[in-house]
Amino acid sequence: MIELTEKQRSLVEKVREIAKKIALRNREVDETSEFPWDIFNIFKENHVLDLPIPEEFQGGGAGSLTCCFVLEEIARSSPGSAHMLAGHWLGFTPLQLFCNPSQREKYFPRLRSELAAFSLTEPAAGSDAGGVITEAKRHGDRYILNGTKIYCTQGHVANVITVFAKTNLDRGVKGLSAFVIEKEFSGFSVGKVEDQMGMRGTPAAELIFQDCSVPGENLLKEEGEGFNIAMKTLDRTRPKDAAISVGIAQGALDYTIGYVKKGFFMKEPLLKSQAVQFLLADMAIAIEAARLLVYESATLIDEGRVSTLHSAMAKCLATDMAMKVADQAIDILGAEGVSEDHPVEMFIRDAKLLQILEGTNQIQRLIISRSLLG
Amino acid sequence: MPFELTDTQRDIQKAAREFAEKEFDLDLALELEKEGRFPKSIFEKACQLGFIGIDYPEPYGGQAFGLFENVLVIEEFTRKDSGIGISLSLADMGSGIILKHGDEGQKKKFLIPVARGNAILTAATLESTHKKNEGSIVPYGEAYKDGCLIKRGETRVIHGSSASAIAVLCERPDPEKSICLIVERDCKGLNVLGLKKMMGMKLSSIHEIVLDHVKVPKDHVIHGDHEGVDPLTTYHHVHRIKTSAQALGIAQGAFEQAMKHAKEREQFGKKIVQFQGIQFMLAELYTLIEAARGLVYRAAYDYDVGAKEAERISSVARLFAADVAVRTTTDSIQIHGGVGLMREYSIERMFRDARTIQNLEETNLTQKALIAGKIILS
Repeated sequence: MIELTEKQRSLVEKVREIAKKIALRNREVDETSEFPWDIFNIFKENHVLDLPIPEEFQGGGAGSLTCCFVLEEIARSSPGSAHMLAGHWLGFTPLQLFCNPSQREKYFPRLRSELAAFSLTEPAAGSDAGGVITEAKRHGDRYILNGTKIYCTQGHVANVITVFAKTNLDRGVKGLSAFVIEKEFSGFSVGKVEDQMGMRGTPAAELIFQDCSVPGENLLKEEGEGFNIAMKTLDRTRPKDAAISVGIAQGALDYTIGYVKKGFFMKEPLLKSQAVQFLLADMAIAIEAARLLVYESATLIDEGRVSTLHSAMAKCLATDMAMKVADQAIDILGAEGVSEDHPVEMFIRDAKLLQILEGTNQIQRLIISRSLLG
Repeated sequence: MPFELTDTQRDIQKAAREFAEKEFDLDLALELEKEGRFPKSIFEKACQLGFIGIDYPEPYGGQAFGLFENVLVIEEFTRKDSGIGISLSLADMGSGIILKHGDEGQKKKFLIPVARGNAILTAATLESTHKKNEGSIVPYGEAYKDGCLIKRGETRVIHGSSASAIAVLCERPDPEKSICLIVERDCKGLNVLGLKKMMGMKLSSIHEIVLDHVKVPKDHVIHGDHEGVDPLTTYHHVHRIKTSAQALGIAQGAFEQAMKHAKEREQFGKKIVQFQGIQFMLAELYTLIEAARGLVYRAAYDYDVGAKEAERISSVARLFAADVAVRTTTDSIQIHGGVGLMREYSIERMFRDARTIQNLEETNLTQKALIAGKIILS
């Protein structure tokens, strides 16, 4: 049983209040697909944005488990806002893990108030990071980047983006390197911004690099370390997507319980239907089981025992669970469940993204089975 | 139950497929989806070619086929485009009731304009058990002689903004159970309110309507038949089968797109269809769709021949086929990966459409309750 510390408890309570407020914007954001800067500012002003940034840089110094609590609580009311926060932390994680001291001095303070993102995917490199063809060529003390990245969450508005490019095209994933890119770098531009099914306020964007000049000091670690950096990052961020999924499912269950207390089925109060009662029970069981695995995978990270296996299992289980639970919520709400008058139809659209991003659940199964078979 | 389509049925299927392939343009569908518009010109063409009203007798502009042939058309339509297919298949939602229970005058008056592409005949249910509607339908004049009066009723109606007439199904106390009152668009007391925004089915706008002291003349009133089948039962029966046909087509379409993508998309140096993880997903979906097709065709056949278990099978088909559509579209998105999530492709729309038709009228819970009731009582 995981007990929240006093500090975590008061943080979660604070975040719950914030989440309820920003949830009022859910529909508008979903409709316009515009990045909600007001919500970003709320996160910034309330020191939610900077939670994982070390205390020596005036950040929150929060560990993975605390971040998971926060994401879960926000997603419960506003999945898209949690996704924004997770996207920021995903962009920050490679820096957190692999920055040298001068990179820390430069970027950690900035990321307390500026938006970050993470960009690995390319048209030919989805599940297979080895397919990256964006090239980073060394010219003196700079790198020149050429290529196109896709599906970078909030990449169109981010100030700082961790971008993966090949410093050696012939070496597959071993030729990958990670760079810290700033929006203002010459030769960098934003291409197509996707009109996507869910998490619509933080759309996936195309990033275009045309002779983009990057200072050599913006290389993270060393050339050829990109794949390692990406995998180590994802080990630490997958539990966060899983936490968002738990939040979505909990939010769907909360809403369904509220609805069941008022609604009717076959001329009887909904709550008198055993079919409905059992569905609610199944939803609660699934949520709690996933929640525990998420907390465990995050705790392992905080204890310095990062487990690729547990992170992948948590991501796979929790995101699949969120789809299932949102589905069951719709089953209970019926026509109202697929109506935009209620949040559940949005929650299921949001949940679907999480089964695909940061490694599809097929890739998670690949990782898990490899780990089992040695 | 035929396991083999006749040559004529194959021709109908082929013609519907060719029509959908030619006319249902993806860009047009996305535009209509954004604007929430009914595909009027496609509807008119589908009427001219006899796809709409295929199950009406010839004197009423039809081709004298059954619901089975209608199902084949719906399947092909939604297979190509879920949004356009659903909206066309719902354009004559009220026809089933009139075909079964209407008199000759009613058939002439209400079916011919639809078959000609000049009218949309939708349907809505007015449940007396709905607190707001209690005791709302009372006869005026001499008991049913002059018609009926809907004192007050609130409900929602598909194609609310484009319908020419609404077949309003009203629950009544036993023994009659229900009657159908056809309310025409310009009828006094019919108020079409705002759009009810749904997750999917954007081409088939759904509106809240209020019926306030609507007088329905006698020739617009449809009663049940002598065998005790009432209009509301017929409506649900037919609608279930049409919904299951829509679901079947969506599942087939989403499956085919997943296959196509898996055969084209390369990762880790091979086509993703070569990965067993993908192959087994496809195998399961194929199995489910085949099973769904068997059920949907049987439900339509049973309706046409008036089989004893027809109604129950319609619930089974609807429950199963809609589940298969939701599962197949969800998995198809998964197989597509990132592109599956993007609105410019049709997969995520197929998912939203499948989920919406599954819940709009009767839900899965309703079907299970109906099936349980029937199998326990028999």
